[in-house]
Amino acid sequence: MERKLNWGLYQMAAPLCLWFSLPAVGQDCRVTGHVFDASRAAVASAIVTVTQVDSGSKRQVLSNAQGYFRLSPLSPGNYRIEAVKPDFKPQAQKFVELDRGSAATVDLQMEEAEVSETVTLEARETGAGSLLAYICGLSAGSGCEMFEPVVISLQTDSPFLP
Amino acid sequence: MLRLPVMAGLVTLLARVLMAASPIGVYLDFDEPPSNAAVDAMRKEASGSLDRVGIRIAWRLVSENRGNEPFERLVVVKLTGGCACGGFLPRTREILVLGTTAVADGRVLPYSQVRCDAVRRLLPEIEYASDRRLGDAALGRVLGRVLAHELYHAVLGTPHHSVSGLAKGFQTTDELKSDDFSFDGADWKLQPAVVK
Repeated sequence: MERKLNWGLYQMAAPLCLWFSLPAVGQDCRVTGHVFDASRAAVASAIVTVTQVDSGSKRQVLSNAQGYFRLSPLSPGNYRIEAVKPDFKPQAQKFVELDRGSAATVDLQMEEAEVSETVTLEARETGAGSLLAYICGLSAGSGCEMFEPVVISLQTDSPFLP
Repeated sequence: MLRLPVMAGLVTLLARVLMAASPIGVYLDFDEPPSNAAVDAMRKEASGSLDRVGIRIAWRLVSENRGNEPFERLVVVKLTGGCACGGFLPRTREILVLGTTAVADGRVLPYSQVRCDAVRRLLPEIEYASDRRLGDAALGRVLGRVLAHELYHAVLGTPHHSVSGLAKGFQTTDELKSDDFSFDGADWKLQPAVVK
């Protein structure tokens, strides 16, 4: 009886497991590359995104101190490769087609951006024992103007008051 | 006879289930060697805040990056200044930037910055703590909250804020230091947005 049950479980599990295993088959491709700027200097810590065009699935890797990266294993298919890093324009991208077992090498030249923007978290303390803390909006400079500052009175029994 | 493929399939199935909840790789880049106690507390606090909204973090160091570890998502966090209590940074009444997240061409980039010195200046009771180790742990917890806030921007790709919790548009020092201050789960249901 027990053997029959085990056999039945195997019969049910086998197709299911094979179905789940199929996508892992053939993941033997890789992409390597180098990220550099206009002067051919290495761009370290750029986030390189490899996107399979058909499925939209993405993998990311961080370029090393010499600007190099390697992404594997990947399935055969068409891929879009792009790199981003602050102070550089994010449009550097390449397309590669990977056949089974193949490897592609790509060079990604990044162009410096003129303006760098940030969204910031700011805080300050005022002289009257109250705290002014607010998050600034998006701006190219010191633009905190998009959000109203909020003044909050500190509790006088706070153990953290000076 | 079917044992081998069944076992292989089960292993693959398990791997796929684990990959479905694959962590976000967060690379830390320190200006100066930090306090271990502060870093441990920071990671614990940020991990706890994000874990509550179903996001796992795999912590990495930029200094140890070899350029070959893939993640589904990556965020790079630069920690500027000294991430340890030093007992010498005076408090200030100037506006202090505690953290930033980069934006380019209207798109929020997964690059954030946490300013350890600014946090230390904002919280002199921590900066001047008599027990340096406890002070570092307290500093780490606040840094973890600032970091979690920036990860909210970097991961969701949004410059927007919520009305409550760690993602709201203003925070007090009491909140930053409180025993329990984290995200509202609803904050993370936002879709990645492009800044207009």
